[in-house]
Amino acid sequence: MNTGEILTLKDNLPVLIVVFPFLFAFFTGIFGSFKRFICFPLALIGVICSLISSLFGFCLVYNQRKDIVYTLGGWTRDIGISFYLNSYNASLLFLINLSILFVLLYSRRVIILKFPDRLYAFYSLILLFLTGILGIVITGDAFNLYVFLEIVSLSSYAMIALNGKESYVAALRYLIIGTVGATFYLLGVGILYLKTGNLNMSEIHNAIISQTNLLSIKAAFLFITIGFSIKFAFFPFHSWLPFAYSKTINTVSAVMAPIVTKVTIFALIKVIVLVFGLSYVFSFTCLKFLFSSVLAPIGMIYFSLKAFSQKNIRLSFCYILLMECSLMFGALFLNNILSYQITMYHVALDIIMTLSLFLFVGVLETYFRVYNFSDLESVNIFKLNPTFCILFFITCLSVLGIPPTGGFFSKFYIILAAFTAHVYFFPVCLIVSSFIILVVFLRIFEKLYFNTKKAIEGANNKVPVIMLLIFFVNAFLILGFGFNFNLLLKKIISLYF
Amino acid sequence: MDIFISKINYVLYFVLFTLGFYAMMAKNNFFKKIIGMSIFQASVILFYVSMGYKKGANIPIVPESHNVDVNLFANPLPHVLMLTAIVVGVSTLAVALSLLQKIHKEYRTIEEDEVLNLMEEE
Amino acid sequence: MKIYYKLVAILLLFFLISLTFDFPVTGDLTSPANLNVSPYYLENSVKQTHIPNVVTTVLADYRGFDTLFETSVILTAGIALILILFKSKRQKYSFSNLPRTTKGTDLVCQNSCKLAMPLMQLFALYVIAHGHYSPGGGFQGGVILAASFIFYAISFGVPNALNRFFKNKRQMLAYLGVLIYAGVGALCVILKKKFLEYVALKDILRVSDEMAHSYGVLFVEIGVALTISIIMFACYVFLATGNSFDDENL
Repeated sequence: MNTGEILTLKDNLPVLIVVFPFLFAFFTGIFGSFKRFICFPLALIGVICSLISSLFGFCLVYNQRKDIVYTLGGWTRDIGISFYLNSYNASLLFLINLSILFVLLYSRRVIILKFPDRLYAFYSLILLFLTGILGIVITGDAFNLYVFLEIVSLSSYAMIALNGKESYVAALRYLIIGTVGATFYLLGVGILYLKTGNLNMSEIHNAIISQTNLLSIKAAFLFITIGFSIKFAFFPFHSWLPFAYSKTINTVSAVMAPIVTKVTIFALIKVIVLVFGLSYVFSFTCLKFLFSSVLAPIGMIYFSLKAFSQKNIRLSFCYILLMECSLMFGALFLNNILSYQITMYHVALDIIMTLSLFLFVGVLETYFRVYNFSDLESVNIFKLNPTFCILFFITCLSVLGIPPTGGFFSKFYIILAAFTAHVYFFPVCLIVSSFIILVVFLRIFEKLYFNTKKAIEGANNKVPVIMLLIFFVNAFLILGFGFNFNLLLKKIISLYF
Repeated sequence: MDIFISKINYVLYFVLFTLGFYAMMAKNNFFKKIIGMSIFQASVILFYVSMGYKKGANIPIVPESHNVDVNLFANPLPHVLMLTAIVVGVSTLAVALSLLQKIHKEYRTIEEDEVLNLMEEE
Repeated sequence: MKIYYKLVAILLLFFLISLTFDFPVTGDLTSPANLNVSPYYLENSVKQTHIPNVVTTVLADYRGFDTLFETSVILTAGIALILILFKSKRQKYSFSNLPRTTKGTDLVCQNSCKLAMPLMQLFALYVIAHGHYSPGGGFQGGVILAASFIFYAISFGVPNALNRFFKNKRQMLAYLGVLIYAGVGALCVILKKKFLEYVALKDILRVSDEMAHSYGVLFVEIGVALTISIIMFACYVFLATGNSFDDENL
């Protein structure tokens, strides 16, 4: 029942993180349709408010050393909906807000030129997308996760379809495949509800501890896992992703590519840890065989070969993204705790890495009109913007897994966890696919750093200062992840278990 | 045989589920895929609602506040969840139909293989 | 290729039917779904919120946060339609491009619309307001209201319907509906309670605890009905006419 206590703004922090972008989405929609110039500042203020509240939330949870459980409406946990905020959630929320902020700053001029009449609708959609993503990360209720997943899906179908003819087909294909994934998840939650009668994740866990060898619980786990794998494009179900992210405008791919897949993997981790429990999942050895030993390694090799054979830069980066997702999913099913911890570390790191990659592609396309690998030869970028290219080099080091960047630690410990679990095909394929990606990057480096064309000075050939700042912050975060690996693992991730 | 009498509703809704899933995957026409999507979502909605049925129960409108016999009223929670799911299904259908209209306007066909061929030619 | 899909579908069907061995029998009074959380809702709905319709209570009070985002899903669909099916202002606005079925010239339709539409709208408002005591509420009433607008658009034509209902950016009311819902929640936060904890409204409205819940649910349902009715009508107009009109009237 309702408690009689008085609550301050600080106590309501978990829900404010989600509600701020939501409110500003509607302010942007209403006021932006009258005056066009007010859309961008309102959207920016919404994202900044959420960023500051997630930072406060992180400091609160880190200092208290205790998770915050917030039930909406003042009801108890099993009657109402509850939110879980712990230090790992809060850091993911901060990184997501940061990446949306960077993309908004980068894309201001591009968007105004592209949609002068419908600016308010586009910014409302981005803010609603952000609300859904933040909600997926923070919620503790199984059906609430479905509602947030659908907000994210609907706004992404609409955002992908903004680039003319080919993007409509890409969006419709994504819609059909994405709906299958979401409905599989809904069926899994329905089977769990039928067997337990609860919708809160921890309550479901308490109820199914005694009945875990039933076929229904295994089937529910399978449906939920397959539903999420469709949503983050695991190997056999990946066909929508390269099609969707390459046919749309570069702002939308920079918004969606770093975030959607990673947050879906995190939602799967959350469901596994909170609902089913790690010991139950570890007893599923056939899944370990199927996912980690067979599908994930084949997926990694296939995607890296595809990345190698593309002519378009953005399409090959989409395949690199797919390779990282296969890597994380394969690592999840290695059935030891170290692999879970490393996957969570890699999820947070990969948000920043993919953001850098796609912002780099965006800069190349907007400022230099470079779309394919062969176009890189015609413009000498390095001579005019040396800092920019060096900062991008740090991101590439991280994707390949070279110390001291964060990517090295995650790949090294995943290989270690795979040897502990006696899975040998997976680390071999990981190393082989890293070498293939190395060849892709060497092609870019050769054309970027060893270009002999004469540099033409001009207003169009210089990357603006704000992009340099964004890349500087990204490189700083990637190196920070690498240098502080032990600290992050002990203080933030280990507490989750 | 016992299943088909006592749990007939689950069996029927799973048949609908499979039909909708097959239509979404195998059909060539985009509009038939969207109809399959509708059937697919409707089967999950019906599955949930049938969970809330109690033998001999009435609708969940409770007039008094004391001595409520719970077995006289149907389970309200699946109904609420499915109100949300129906609204979500309708929204997805609206967006899918608008995309289909744009595709038809641009390519003059809604068969998937023809559209992909036309896309590759450009 | 289709034979593989058929095989996968049949395998899926057998797998699902084998699952039903575990499920409780239909209508079982002692199944976990009927024993665990829902007796609390049925027993305490009138005591805590003074609303007999338990579905409305669970929708708007116990799980009100879900409903807020569900309403925003439908609003997202409306914004998506604006973005996808939009024709630029610079292009000429002409009704001669409309398909014949949206022009509306049938005499029987027009006269029956004149008779039935006021009754439909009255019934819709009744369903919204009486959602506490009988099956109904914001969603159902909003859809009936939208159906009355669509009936007018079918009988008299889309241009006449747009002129009558949506001059001067009235679609902003759709945004306002969700803002009412979120605003009630934010008001509860400002009044030093949790988000969507309707007890906070007790001091402003000067009523008891249960009546505060009842009024909170009523405001929230009005917001939902506003959004749903406008967006459903907008969906019909956008999809029926393609994109043959410009931004001035919608």
